[in-house]
Amino acid sequence: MFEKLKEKFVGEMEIAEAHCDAPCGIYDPASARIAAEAALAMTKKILDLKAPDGSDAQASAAYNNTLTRYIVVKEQQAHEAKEHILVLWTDYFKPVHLEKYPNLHETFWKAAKLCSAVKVEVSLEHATELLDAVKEIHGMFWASKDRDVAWYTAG
Amino acid sequence: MITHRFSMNSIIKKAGTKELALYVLGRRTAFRVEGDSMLPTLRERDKVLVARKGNIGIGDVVLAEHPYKISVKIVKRVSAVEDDGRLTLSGDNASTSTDSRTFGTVSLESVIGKVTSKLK
Repeated sequence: MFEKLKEKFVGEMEIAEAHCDAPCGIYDPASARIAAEAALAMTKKILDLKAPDGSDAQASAAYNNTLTRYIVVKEQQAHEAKEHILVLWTDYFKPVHLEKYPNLHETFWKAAKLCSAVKVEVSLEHATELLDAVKEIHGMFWASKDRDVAWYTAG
Repeated sequence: MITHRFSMNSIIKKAGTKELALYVLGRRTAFRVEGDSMLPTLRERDKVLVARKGNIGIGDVVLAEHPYKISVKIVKRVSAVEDDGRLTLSGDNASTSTDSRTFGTVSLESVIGKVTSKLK
């Protein structure tokens, strides 16, 4: 009897979504900061790397290998920084925050643009500006939660 | 009303006679689960019964309105009650729980009810 009742009711059942976007609400600009710091560190390493004499094949190979690795990591980390920044911008921050931080869009847009610049260029200036932009985001983020979280860097 | 007790209701049991009776009497509403974020507690296509009245506590599996998607209902577990009274909801599926930076806490008003049992 219950089976029949179940079938009767089950026909018009509403959906309860259990998809993977669990709203646990864990956001932290620290992820963007770590990636931006890594991109800055790689930029410095690339600029500091000395090219060997062309005659030494072994040294040349080692140099190319090291340089390529630095570039790959810079590329990855700058992209990762951009992803973290975009998540904060488009998911965490809400229209209500705009009233408190009128320069919110400008700050995030510039930060995202700097991530691209850090990828494309080997620019100490832009890599440093990116970390500064993340610091500004850190300030806005924690202020929006009425929390005083000190800025720090790993490097 | 929120209770800060931790619910032992981590497993959703199969509906017994009482639950089915409450369902027939209209005190429970049935929903079909879609998605894997509540594995292993709830599987895709599980049919769950939801009580619209009663207290909600940490550890309860609840049905709630999606914070942004109009008329979408989500099933998640209450993992924390914030200082401002809002609820943190999480999926049980560990592999998806890290993918969670999507939309913040939800208000108590958005909770439709508690999942009390499953039909199959």
